[in-house]
Amino acid sequence: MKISLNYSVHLSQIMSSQLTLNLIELEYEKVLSEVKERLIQGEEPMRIIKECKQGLALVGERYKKKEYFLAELMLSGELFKDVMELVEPYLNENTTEENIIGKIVLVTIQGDIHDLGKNILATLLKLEGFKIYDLGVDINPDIIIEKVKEIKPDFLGFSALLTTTFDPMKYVVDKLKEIGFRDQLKIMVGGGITNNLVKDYIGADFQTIDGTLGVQYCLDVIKARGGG
Amino acid sequence: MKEEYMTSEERITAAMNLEKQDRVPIVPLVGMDLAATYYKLNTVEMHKDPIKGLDIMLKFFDEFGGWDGHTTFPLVKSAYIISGFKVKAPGQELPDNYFAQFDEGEWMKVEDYKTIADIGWSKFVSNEYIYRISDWTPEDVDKARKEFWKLLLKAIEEWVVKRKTGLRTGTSRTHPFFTLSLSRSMIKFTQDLYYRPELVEAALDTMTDEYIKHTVSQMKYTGGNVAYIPEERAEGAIYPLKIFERFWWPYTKRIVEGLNDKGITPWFHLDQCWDLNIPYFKELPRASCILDFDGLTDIFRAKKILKNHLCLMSDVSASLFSIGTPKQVEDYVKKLIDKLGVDGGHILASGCEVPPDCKPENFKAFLKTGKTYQLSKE
Repeated sequence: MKISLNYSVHLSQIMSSQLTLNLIELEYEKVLSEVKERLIQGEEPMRIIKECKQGLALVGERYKKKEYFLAELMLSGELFKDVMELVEPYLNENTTEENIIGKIVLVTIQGDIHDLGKNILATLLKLEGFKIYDLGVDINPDIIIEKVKEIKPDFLGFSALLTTTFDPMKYVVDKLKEIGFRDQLKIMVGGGITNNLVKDYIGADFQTIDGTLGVQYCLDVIKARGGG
Repeated sequence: MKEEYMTSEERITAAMNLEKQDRVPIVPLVGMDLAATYYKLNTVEMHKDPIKGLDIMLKFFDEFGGWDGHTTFPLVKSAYIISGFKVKAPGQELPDNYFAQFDEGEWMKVEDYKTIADIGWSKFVSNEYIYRISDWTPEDVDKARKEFWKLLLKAIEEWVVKRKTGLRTGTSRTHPFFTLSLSRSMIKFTQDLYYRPELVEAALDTMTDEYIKHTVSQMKYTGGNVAYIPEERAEGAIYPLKIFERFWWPYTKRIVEGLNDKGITPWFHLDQCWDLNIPYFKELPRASCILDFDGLTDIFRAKKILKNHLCLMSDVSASLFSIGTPKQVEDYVKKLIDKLGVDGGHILASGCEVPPDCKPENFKAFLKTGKTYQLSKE
């Protein structure tokens, strides 16, 4: 028996498709079987993606209302990944899902091999239309600097679970300042050991231990720049 | 300034029982990584020979004038593997100057839940899982177990007998929920909780009974009286209360009851933010366990809710130790003592481990303020 989520259905959801509703309720099997069926029947894949994204947006709404937790955000993100695996073979080369609203480089710096928080944030940002450049874990600071120069992202996001990452992160920020790249991007830091003290120490613009706040920060920055 | 009049053991016992002490007991989590860094060593050899890791911890303890309680042994890779956790170690999978870290992945499979429910975690690990997370042979497993017991007994001799520290842990096993989350990986485990709840429950059920039995038996052997139980994944920052109520709380209550019956106090090491879950702990008997936070839970709010009910272990954060100033550390320790120690139920500690790059002057400020503040005030 699947665990019942038993949350109230909002009016906006009643107007949604069954696929959207099933995604909101995290009905894993139902979502995937409907997607498979509709693809076989030749339905336009972008329409399926759109309905799923509507579901994801409503999952996010429930999270903001504290009806859903990080667990449900993760589950919806995983479910969407599985939907995309089914849909991708049906997308032709010219199909563009949506315009990219911003670029972000995500990384766990040298000395630290943890990637859970970084991966969750990457999933959430991707769903909002950000292009993710995930450099991985245990990455040399100079490689990060080179990647920032090459990609010219809107954001650089550090994930950290060890205090020994503070100085290497500070090195990257200082170096970006030195070579004139600092003002062109916002720098974020997150992870269980981070707080405002760490933000100020490394010279970041934003700190959080809540991935959804990280996403909101990125959206706010893009909006303030007139994008999004 | 007043004089101390209690031993470390008496001080800690009083705190656990919510009674007044001469001064707050001090129990920072200091592992071999910090000690090794302080002495400008890497930990490669210590992972190969854990006694060297213990020796460096003892040297550090003595040099800094000691404190009231300590966990008992260095967390080396072999100790993790014996318990069923895949870890990367310096000099092996990581460069020499790195620190050991969990290698989280989907090492445990969905089908393993049934095996665990049938035979328990320990047998599952011994029979098959240990060979999935390591390249060990059965002979390596036997050797590592013998070395581990030798280490544990030496650690108890050094800490408890020679240095008279309190808080005799004598065992360290993660909460069954956390064990499964680490072994399945957090996202897969979350999917299991929602889509395969009966499988998880059956495994948790067996693991909880096994946990109590194992801990009681190990405590008889080591003479410990406090069971250190880390948990970082069940809190309201991640899961809704209906998940907590179904998969964590009932098993935790069973652990508290089962261990209390045998005179053992559980020490729940609760990393991350537990704000939403704190009121549940009111359901436990008074003075039945210690709750230990890492700086992300609002410990002052927790105190208001659990005042005169449970002992709280405080939370000087890793970042404060690492990049704060001695004055910032001193101020925070004073705040903790003033606000948390009112009913006696406070143990001054680090939030999770004191980090390896802790500034020595910050650690000194932590110890000095803890040892002198109350005595100079009263």
